[in-house]
Amino acid sequence: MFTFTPEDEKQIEKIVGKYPVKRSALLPLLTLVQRRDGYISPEAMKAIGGKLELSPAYVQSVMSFYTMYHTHPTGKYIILFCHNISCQLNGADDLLAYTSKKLGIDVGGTTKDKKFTLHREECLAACSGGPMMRVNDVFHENLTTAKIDKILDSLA
Amino acid sequence: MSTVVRKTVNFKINGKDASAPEGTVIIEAAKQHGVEVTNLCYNRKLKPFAACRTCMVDVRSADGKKELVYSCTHPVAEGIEVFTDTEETDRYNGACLEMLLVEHPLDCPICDKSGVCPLQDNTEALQMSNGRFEIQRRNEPSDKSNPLIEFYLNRCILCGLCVRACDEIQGVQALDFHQRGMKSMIGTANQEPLDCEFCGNCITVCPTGALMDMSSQERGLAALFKTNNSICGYCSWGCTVQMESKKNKVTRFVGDETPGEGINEGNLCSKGRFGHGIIHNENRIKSPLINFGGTFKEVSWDEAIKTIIDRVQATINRNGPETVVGIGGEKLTNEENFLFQKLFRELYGSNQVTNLANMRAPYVNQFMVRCFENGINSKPVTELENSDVVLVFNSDLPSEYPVGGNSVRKGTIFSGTDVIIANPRKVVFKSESNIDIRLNYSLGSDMTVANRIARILIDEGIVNTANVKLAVPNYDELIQSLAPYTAEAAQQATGLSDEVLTRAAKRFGRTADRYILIGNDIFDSGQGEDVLNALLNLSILVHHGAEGSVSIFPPREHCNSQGVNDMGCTPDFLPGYQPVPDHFGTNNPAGDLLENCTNGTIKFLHIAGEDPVHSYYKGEKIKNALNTVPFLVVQDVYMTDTAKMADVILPATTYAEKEGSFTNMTRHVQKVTPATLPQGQSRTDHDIFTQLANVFGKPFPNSAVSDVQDEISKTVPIYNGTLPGSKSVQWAPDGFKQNPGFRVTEARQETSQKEGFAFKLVSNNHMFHIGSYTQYAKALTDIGPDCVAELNPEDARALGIGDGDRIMIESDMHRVEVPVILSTVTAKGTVYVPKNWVAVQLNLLRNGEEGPVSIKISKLG
Ligand code: SF4
Ligand code: SF4
Ligand code: SF4
Ligand code: FES
Ligand code: FES
Repeated sequence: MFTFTPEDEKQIEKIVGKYPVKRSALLPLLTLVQRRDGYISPEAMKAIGGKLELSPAYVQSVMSFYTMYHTHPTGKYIILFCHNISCQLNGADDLLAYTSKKLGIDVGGTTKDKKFTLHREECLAACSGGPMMRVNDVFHENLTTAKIDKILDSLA
Repeated sequence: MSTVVRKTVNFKINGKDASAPEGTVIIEAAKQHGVEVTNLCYNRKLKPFAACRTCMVDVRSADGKKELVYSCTHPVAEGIEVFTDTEETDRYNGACLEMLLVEHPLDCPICDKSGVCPLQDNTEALQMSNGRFEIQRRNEPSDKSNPLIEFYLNRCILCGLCVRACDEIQGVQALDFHQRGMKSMIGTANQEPLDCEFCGNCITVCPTGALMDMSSQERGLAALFKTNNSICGYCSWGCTVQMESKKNKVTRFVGDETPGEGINEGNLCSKGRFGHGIIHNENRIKSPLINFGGTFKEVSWDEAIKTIIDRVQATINRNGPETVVGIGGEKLTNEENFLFQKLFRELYGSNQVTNLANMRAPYVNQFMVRCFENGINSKPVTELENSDVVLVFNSDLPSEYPVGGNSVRKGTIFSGTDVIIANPRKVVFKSESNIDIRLNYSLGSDMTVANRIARILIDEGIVNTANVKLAVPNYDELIQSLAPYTAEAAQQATGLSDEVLTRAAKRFGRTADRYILIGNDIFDSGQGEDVLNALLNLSILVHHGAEGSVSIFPPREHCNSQGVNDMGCTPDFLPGYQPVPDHFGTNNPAGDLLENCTNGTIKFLHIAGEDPVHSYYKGEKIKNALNTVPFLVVQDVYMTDTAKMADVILPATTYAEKEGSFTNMTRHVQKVTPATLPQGQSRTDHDIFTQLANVFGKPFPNSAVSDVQDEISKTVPIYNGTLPGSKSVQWAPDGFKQNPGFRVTEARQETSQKEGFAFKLVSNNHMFHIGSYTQYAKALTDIGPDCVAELNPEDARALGIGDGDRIMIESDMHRVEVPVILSTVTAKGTVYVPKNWVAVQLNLLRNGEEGPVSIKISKLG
């Protein structure tokens, strides 16, 4: 069962208060839940909709528009691997394949120990540093296989 | 029209002069001038959206500048010239259509929409027979996971009409776009089976066969069906339905969005669209039946009619004509009800005809007449969407008048209509109104709410009291009667703060075109008459004391609850509310029908199409009455509990097998036409009455439907010019004397709690049902199979009752068992139970109690 903690409730009140219409708080609330749980479950969509007087179908439509919201449980670290033009020209495809193999999961999958989730992502606006990936909130640029090993091995 | 005046702008379309109110989008203005622009995502009921990009037109501004714009979002402007169908616009519009056709399956030969498909029409209009692109069809299986609406999304062109209709018209948001780009598709949350209000309005607006009605066995190309427009036979809103039939079999009902057709713009509700299962149905009464010592035997029509007439004649001779009594039908046509009262009055010589609504609340007709006497005639309901403020008084619109809700929602979008909802339940009504005031008052305090608002209008000077005083003689009496309604007293009684009541009063009182929609729930408050009077007073105050207008209609339940009264099926009036001639005398057994059946005064009772055993609020008493009355005739479509008590049963037809007219609650007289012939041996009520007259020996001189309509037009002044009803005209209250006056009532004690009964019962029609007859429509029992009570979560917790538990509900008269769900819509201290299940007899729980019924509840193991 999905519930908001008292702390969440406080946050929500603050967020909703910032906008003239409640509906505008949808993205911040989705983000709040994703940061807490790593993903947004169908129950969470209902609960968020309930707060903002929006139906679950509406919530899902907004959420599914954005690839960065996850609908399935994710690992502790979410890797978003850019595959757009600058990064791709600099070898992103091979590096993504390398990462995928190293973690032993397909793109879109999560490791058995729930540590890593790997996603392909559109341009993350760090083109000058491509190829790049984002691990949770941290950008890692100018990637090489060695650099990827180092980053991933350093994460507990 | 709304009191907000919009300027008219002048422009040209394809060289011709044209004009339209400021803000009108080009595509609509063009349509009004007879010019069709290609389009796939425009619908005049919905907000502009511009998804399909096939409606481009060429616009030249006054200074000659050329612009290519989308006509569904671009408003007309002074001095512009619009060109539709130029080589250039066709090229652009065609290209967008061509893209859509890349994916579209083009399986027209097996598509339900074929023949009435905007995608086909536009393809034709733009002559897009040879696409340039490689075809890439989607090939997903169809989704039939809900009982009524099939999703075959390979045909979807992502116009968004269904999504918008569901949100903007219906206020539900069950459907939405998911994903984006190539992956976009419409769907429900998490692709769960659709679980919504099942209005089917998404099917109506869909320009392709992506959404389809599965309610009928017979499916197939729309083009191959015969169609006729008629009026829905369920609630009193009076929606036009288009009936489709094939080889004399009704196949499905659809909405007709042709502008100006009926009052509902093609909107329908679940009952209106999917409730056709009552027409072709195994369980209908198959033959006339006579009760021989407790068993019904099939007899011929001749025998049944003769048995009835013999009995009528004997009774008249022995006991006098007034012992012969009839109950007219709220689902019979005007013409049928007219003949019914004529049969009684002119042939039998008895003024004793009534109807169930009139038996329960004879004051409703009086209320209507008083509105007219005060000069409040009320506007046509087609203007509801242009109103500035709507007061919804004790009505759960989405269940009671669902399509009324659609019009209000449209008003909130296009006319800025403000909504005030006064209801003891926290009813759900989603709309886009800027001002949405909720008066969630304590059960039974209806009158106080209305009277307090009236007092605020006066005390705060919101209405011009000098004008009111001048216009209405007993103004001072009103002032006196409102004295007890102080802020404190009102708060005490209603639980509402004076601040919110003042907000409502201010919004209601300021310059506006106002509508008041009243729910049938007020009858269960025990103060129906007083509530109507209070609302009348409120209306009189703004009618004379404020700018704008006020429209107020008496609550009516069934498709012809208004017409049955208009046609004089009440001992108080001849047709058209004309006085009853003196020769009938003052003896009026129908005035207290139950008592006079039970005490033997009434000897013969003829019930036309009603099931009072289930629907009349005095459950036990009506049974006694019908048991005692020496001779009972019931004509109906189904073997109801009432029919089972009859001496003679006559099989009648449904609304889809008859011709005539219904009058809706807002007095629009509308044409009813048959989709099929009377099924089996059944006969229309019209034919039954005609035959009774024949056998009685005084045949009606002219008995065809059109003859009866002529007679009505001649003898019922208010109906003059309304029949046959193809134009949906609202009858005008001509000939009522002007007699302004407030109806003042004493303040009353709220009903007290009965010892040992901690809860109050609230009940009304379920969203998917009305009366007991929708229980025969399979589609409606598929979506609304069970009678489920609603209980406030706090009460439930206190009693250890959980969602889905079964409970026992007991009054001091009766007990019923039902499952329960927890919902905050239902106020603490109350239990809501829909009244449509024959097995859950709420009228036995009530058994004549006028106010909220005291009940107790307990959890069943
Ligand atoms: S049937 Fe009505 S409520 Fe259900 S999805 Fe369609 S439009 Fe929405
Ligand atoms: S299902 Fe029909 S109405 Fe809905 S988006 Fe697709 S084509 Fe448009
Ligand atoms: S709102 Fe009433 S009249 Fe209209 S379709 Fe529904 S039941 Fe029929
Ligand atoms: S292309 Fe990779 S960050 Fe922009
Ligand atoms: S009708 Fe204008 S864009 Fe679809």
